[in-house]
Amino acid sequence: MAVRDAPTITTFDISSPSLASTQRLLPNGNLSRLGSCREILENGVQLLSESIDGALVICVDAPRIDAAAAVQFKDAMRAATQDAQHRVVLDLSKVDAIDSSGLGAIVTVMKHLAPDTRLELAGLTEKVAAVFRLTRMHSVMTIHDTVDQALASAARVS
Amino acid sequence: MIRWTKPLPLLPVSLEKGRIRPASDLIRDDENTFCILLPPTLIAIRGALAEVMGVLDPNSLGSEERGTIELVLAEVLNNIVLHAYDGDTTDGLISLKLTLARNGLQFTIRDDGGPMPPGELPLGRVADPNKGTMAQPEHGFGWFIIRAVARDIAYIRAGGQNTLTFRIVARPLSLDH
Repeated sequence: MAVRDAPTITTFDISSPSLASTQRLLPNGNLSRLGSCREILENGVQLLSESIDGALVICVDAPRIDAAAAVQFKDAMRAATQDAQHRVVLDLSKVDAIDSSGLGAIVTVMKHLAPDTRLELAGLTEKVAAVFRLTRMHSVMTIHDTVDQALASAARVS
Repeated sequence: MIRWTKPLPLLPVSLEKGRIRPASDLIRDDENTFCILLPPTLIAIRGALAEVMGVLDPNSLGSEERGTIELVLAEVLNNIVLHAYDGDTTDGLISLKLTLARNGLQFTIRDDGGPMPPGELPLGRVADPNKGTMAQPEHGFGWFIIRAVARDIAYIRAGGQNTLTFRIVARPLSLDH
């Protein structure tokens, strides 16, 4: 049975200059669709990390890891993985879309953790998986269908 | 043929209230054209992507094709905001024109930021499975993605403006018969 510690939550917010510009874009609320952008800004984006069976499992609670979020994502990942040991499993099942900046941020984190800690991915949604295939990054990183499968694969190895 | 979800407005959709400067070629010339104006910020790109994906009828286009279109558009707009502008200024304007074509979509994207470096458009970079972790690129994926998906990519610098045109081949879902 998996041993679960209490989850730790790291919050990172999109930078305030962007917030200012978005508010400028919404002078009278006419552009309702932009409201969703502001919602993302105000809610921030969270990383939920949990130590399970010796692996640090980090769930990205954000709809997008894009150019607007990449820097904050990198910073939050560095903070969240400070005490990581052999293995970090990044759960992307809540992420709907990623772009080249988001992908680059994940590569940066992978290189930052190497060689002592291995970064693995789990739960890629359709559009996210397509970006990894298109850039051949799927053949460089270890990708699991689900977090449970990631944890089970480690159990088999050990 | 790929369809719109709804009849579209004659004037461009503007994500930048109060500074609408529709160039004559941005006024919708026919029912197959959709235009949008946005300020050069990364957050505005999210809004623009939502607008564009919102007008493309999901019943006429597969989800894989939709994802690819959204990705390429994000890469092109990111490059403009991060490189033609300084990344987070609101002083500038990007216009995007999207035309439904027989075998996909035609894009014309114009901005008043700085020029591209002279010479050929970037080739981009891609992961190399034969190399170790530390040798993998962290940047350059964007142009690789654009070149892998878009066709007939052309860039012109004229009158203080950049214009990038390309098309994306996308097979519409055949629900018509």
